[in-house]
Amino acid sequence: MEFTDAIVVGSGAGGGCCAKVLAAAGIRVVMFERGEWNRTDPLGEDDLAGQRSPCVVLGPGPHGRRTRKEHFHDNGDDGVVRPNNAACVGSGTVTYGAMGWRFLPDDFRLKSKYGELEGSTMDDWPFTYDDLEPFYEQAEWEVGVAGSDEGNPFCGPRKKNYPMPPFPYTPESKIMDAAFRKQGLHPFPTPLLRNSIPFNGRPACIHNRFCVGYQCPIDAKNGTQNTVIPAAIATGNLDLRIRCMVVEVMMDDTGKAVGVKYFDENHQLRELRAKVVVLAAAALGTARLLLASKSGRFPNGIGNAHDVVGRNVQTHRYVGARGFWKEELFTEDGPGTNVAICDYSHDNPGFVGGGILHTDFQFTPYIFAGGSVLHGTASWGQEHKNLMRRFYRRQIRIIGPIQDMPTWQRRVVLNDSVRDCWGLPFVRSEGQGHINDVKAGNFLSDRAYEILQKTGAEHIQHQGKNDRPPFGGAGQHQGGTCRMGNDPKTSVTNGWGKVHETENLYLADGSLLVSIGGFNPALTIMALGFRVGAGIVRDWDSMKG
Amino acid sequence: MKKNTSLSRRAFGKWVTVVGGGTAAGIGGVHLLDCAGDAAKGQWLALTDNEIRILEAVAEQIIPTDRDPGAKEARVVVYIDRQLAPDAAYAHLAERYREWLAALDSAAKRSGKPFAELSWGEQTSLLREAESGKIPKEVWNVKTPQSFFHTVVNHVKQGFYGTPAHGGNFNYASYRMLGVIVPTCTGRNRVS
Repeated sequence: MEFTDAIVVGSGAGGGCCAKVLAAAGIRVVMFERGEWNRTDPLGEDDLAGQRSPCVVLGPGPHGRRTRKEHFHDNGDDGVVRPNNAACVGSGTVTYGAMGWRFLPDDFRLKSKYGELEGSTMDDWPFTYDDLEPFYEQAEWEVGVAGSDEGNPFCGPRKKNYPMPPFPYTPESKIMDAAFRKQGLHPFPTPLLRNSIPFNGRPACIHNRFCVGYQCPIDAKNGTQNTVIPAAIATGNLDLRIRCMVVEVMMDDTGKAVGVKYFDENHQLRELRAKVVVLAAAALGTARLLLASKSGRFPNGIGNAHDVVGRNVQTHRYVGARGFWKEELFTEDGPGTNVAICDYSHDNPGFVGGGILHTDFQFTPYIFAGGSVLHGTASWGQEHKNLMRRFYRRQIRIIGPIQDMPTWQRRVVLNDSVRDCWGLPFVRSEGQGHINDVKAGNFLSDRAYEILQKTGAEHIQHQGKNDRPPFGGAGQHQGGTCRMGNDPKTSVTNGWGKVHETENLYLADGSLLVSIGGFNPALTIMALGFRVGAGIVRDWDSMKG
Repeated sequence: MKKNTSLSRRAFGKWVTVVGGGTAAGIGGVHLLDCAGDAAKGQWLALTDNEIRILEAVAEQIIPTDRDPGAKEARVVVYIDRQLAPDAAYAHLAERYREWLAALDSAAKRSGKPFAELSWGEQTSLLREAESGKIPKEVWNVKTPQSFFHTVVNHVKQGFYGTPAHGGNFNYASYRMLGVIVPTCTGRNRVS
């Protein structure tokens, strides 16, 4: 029987940061990752293999038939969802667009701010922005964020500035910056987990504008794979095991996690025992593991005595507007998203929350070609080709993610009839989201439309407007399936990520998010990873036995 | 930082160099360099010659030839055939493709000709009918719905607007048309 101090399942934003804290404190860690180290060649150049267009394959994995299907929708075999989350060391932080947002203080206290939202499980976090602030700072400095809050009156207080200055604006971002100001709004540079200057021994960004969904060829995009994981390995305390799939958390009769079962790279089922187990397999993967780990004491899965695991799943609907500039605006100079506003993140009329608006990365030709170029025009044939030629190089666009309101019925469940090659059931997503998302989305899209009108752009169109609440959910931004809280009847972990009813099983990923914010959640998940790690180190003496 | 702000032969030359200097094996059995030969040789991986003939006519309707190459010249069918091959990305759709193409051909034959031999306007009309599900049920008697056309449109766009590495976009037809510098994704053209 093999033993270690701590097991961390998953090497993404949360797992990578948590493992670094443990390893640096002298705790021996084994980290499992189902993927492998990603390579930039040759899929890095493939516009049919990116995270926004995984047509032939998803570049950063999962690769091969073993892992192709990740979950099923309710609606039969057509609903097989091919993964759009990476499976590699660093996971989505290898290939993300790399926006490094802190949530706003109000995002941690939605219920206190807005009161009950009927039909939603929206709630306060068990701690405040101020409690997470030191860990945001740790993420900004250890992983690396370029930005400036100076123009943003809505952000929470910070003790230390960003480690790198913001990126210069592209021509499109300059136009949008002026339009935001004309509208009386407060634009500021999008914070980015990228090197605007050489940082931490790696070079400055080469300012490409297509790279969302791809690994950086010069390593100027900052993820866990090129920051905290190498730092953890350098301590000598991190044993990273790639191509390993964890399929069960083993529990004893007293509520103690004793280790995990996993398939190694040779498809052999093995066991590893440890004093503490941390799951960071992302919101769907972590819920799946808890639900699938059934034992005498946990017949419905670990931490699921009150049927909360898998519920409250949240993701992001993107809304905004796009128009077309009078002449060519196209540039390869990026990064794509440069300028943003938080003016509509809260305190909007008639609904809870809201979202940011920001300029975006460049569309590849294939992504631009999807559907109609202009509303009401043909999506194929001569007209479509004409419009492609006329407008591809003239697009101007602002979009943003809507703060998704959790509901009890919207969740992921195990689908026992469909299993992966390791025998683990897939998850199926089901249940209706909240009507608040429709109100917020349509409101934000209308604002984006008005702002674009200030630029003088032509053919302006809403994007993402929708009259129906979202259904199911498992996008790139996934959260909330094992939310934190003080009440075990409505939450899965306490405020330090420890699963209720267990002594030493922790979660450290997006599953913890009580609310997913109107922001890309990566930096918040990193901060949570650091915080969960700090809690384990603090309590280590009592756990090491 | 090296900047390429306009479309140039040099940019394309560099792409070829990058691919040539990389792995020749490609990924998942796709050979990056061998992306043009299949159509000429008539060696298809998933579809028959007749199915290819119908699909090529459909693809050309979706992205017609004008002053720039269309789907035919860009070898979009090579892309789709490859993705329908066993174990490829759309292997699970191969049977639907066959069914849909055959049903479309039957619908065309009401006027006495196979789809590929209909006039341009007749082809357009028939595809519009399929798009909106208006081909009569007694003619369309297969399980695959007429609206599978939308999937075909999507795949044709992939084959035309996506990277040439998977068999379509021959000679960078769409990248040239739109003035896009390649490689598009990671900006490697910016690294010396």
